[in-house]
Amino acid sequence: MITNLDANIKACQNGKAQAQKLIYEAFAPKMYGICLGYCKERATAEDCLQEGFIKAFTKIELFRFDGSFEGWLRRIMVNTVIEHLRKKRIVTFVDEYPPLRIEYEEQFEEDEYSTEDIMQLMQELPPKYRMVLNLYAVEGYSHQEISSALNISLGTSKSNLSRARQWLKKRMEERIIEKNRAIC
Amino acid sequence: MLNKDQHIDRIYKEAFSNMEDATPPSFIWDNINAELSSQRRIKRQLFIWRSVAAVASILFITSLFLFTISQSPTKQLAVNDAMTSEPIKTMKAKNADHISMSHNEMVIHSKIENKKDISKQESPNEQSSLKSTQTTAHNKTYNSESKNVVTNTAHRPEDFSKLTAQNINSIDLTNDINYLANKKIEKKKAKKTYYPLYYTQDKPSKNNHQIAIGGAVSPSYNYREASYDGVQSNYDEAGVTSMGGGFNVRLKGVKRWSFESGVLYSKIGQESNRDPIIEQEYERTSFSGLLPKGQAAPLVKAQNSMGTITVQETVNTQATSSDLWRAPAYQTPKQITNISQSLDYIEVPLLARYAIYTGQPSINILGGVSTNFLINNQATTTDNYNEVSISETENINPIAISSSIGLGFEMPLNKTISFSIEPRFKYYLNSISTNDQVTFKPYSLGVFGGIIINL
Repeated sequence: MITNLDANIKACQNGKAQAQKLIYEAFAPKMYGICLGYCKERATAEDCLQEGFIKAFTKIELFRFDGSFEGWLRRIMVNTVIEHLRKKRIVTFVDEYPPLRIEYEEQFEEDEYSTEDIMQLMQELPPKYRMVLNLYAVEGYSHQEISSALNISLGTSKSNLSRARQWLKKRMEERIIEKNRAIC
Repeated sequence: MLNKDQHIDRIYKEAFSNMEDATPPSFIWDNINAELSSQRRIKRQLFIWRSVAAVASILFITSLFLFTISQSPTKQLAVNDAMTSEPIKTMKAKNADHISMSHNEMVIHSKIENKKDISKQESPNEQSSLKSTQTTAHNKTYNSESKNVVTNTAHRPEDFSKLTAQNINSIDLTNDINYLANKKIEKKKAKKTYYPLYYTQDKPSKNNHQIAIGGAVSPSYNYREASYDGVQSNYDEAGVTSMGGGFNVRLKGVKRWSFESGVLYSKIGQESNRDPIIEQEYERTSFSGLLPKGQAAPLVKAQNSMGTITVQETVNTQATSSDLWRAPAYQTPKQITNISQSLDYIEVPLLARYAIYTGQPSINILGGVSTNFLINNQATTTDNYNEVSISETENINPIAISSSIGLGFEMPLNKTISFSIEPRFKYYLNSISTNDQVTFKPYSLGVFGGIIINL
């Protein structure tokens, strides 16, 4: 982790290139992961990472040291991804449907899946579902906030989240069944 | 045990966290660094231009201050006294020869430029002859009141040969005293002025027409004269400040007239705000009741004195219990409490100038018209400390005509370069909106600061 973060942020606010590099090196891996979590294509994630850091360094004088810098940077990165995907019209959300009632027959056990499995499924998750699930489950947004951020209705937000969970559950079940068959 | 939804969310979040440790390709930093360097360069250039304007302003104000001080009555008297009282006192106290020499020295210093040449040519005896000759010459001046006589007579070699001791004794002291008294009055009338920075005597120009090029930057305050025939929301609107500037070419014409054109960048606009506490939405197109399913809802629009802004991608509909109808929910971005509208123009002016004072600094009045070509039209809002583009103002005329009047002050730094400061008032002659209901005529007050290079 970067030492003397505040001093480096202040140096960035004064436009020091060396400090910008240090900040980038400290936070780029995590932010890149976030971008990868939202974007299906690696190239899109790289574009968003680049755009997000440029935006952050350009607006860094607005950071008032009130909260966590990582949180501030993360929010900029997520907003950049949303804006990018919206501009490119990569994500089109499903129209609103009555929220689905998901009936889980059973709870997944921790040893029935691996993190790699989930990560792979995340990449396969359709963007329209992934966006809402990310904002809800990872970023902790409420449906109201999601609908504002994505300019969708509350119903669309709930509907997409419900379908995302359903999609994920179905794929995880299939994987577990495949694994069990392979063992047998 | 966790809720089933929470369980799958937790699994997902953990997997997401594991992804947050990827190494981005190295070229990304190179691209970021290149972009930031470019922005730094632009900022530096902007800083330089602003500094030039600031220095120009300081120089102008300082020179104006010094100029004013040097013209004050006290100083004027002091200068005149220093030049005249000393010889008078000396006259009373000492002999005529001394008086004449003191006075002649003064006359020589102030009127005869090539004294050194003459001194070099004459022997010591001749130098004393020279002084006496000049005294004689000066006496001639009293009668003719022509400075040229002084110079011409003093330089004529034949006058030197006429010098005798009798010439010295024949000097009329009364004439000297009268001359000095008259001179004092003349100097008071002439208002002798000292110029602290740089002063060149007016020289007849080789050509009647001279060309000058220049560059200037201008901070300006912009607002508008507006009226709107339709329904308008009660927004709190305010003017904006902006930076402009550009290059100009000036053709100095006959007498005191000159004409100027060029290419300038200018920006106009306004800011409108609503009270975030009231949470009143920006006005939208009129609609009430329910929409049939599948029918598009009207767009959300912001309407103010400059025109209409259709906010992009902000329309949502909210599900109702009915299968056939839905209620439109206008989901404007909730952070919008202000909208900044800006229009960027490239301006081609045609200005006429008339010099009302040709001293240092020269002062001129200017006026003319400009054709303004719209190059950018943007409406933005501030969202989470970021400036976010939401749309543009509709129905903006791509070309607008404006008029300008101003007062220019120019202070030469050397023979070629001058600093200039020009407060200008600009007013748009036609409404910038093509919408018949909207009349929006911006005006701005700016101070142009820059340099002029005489070619």
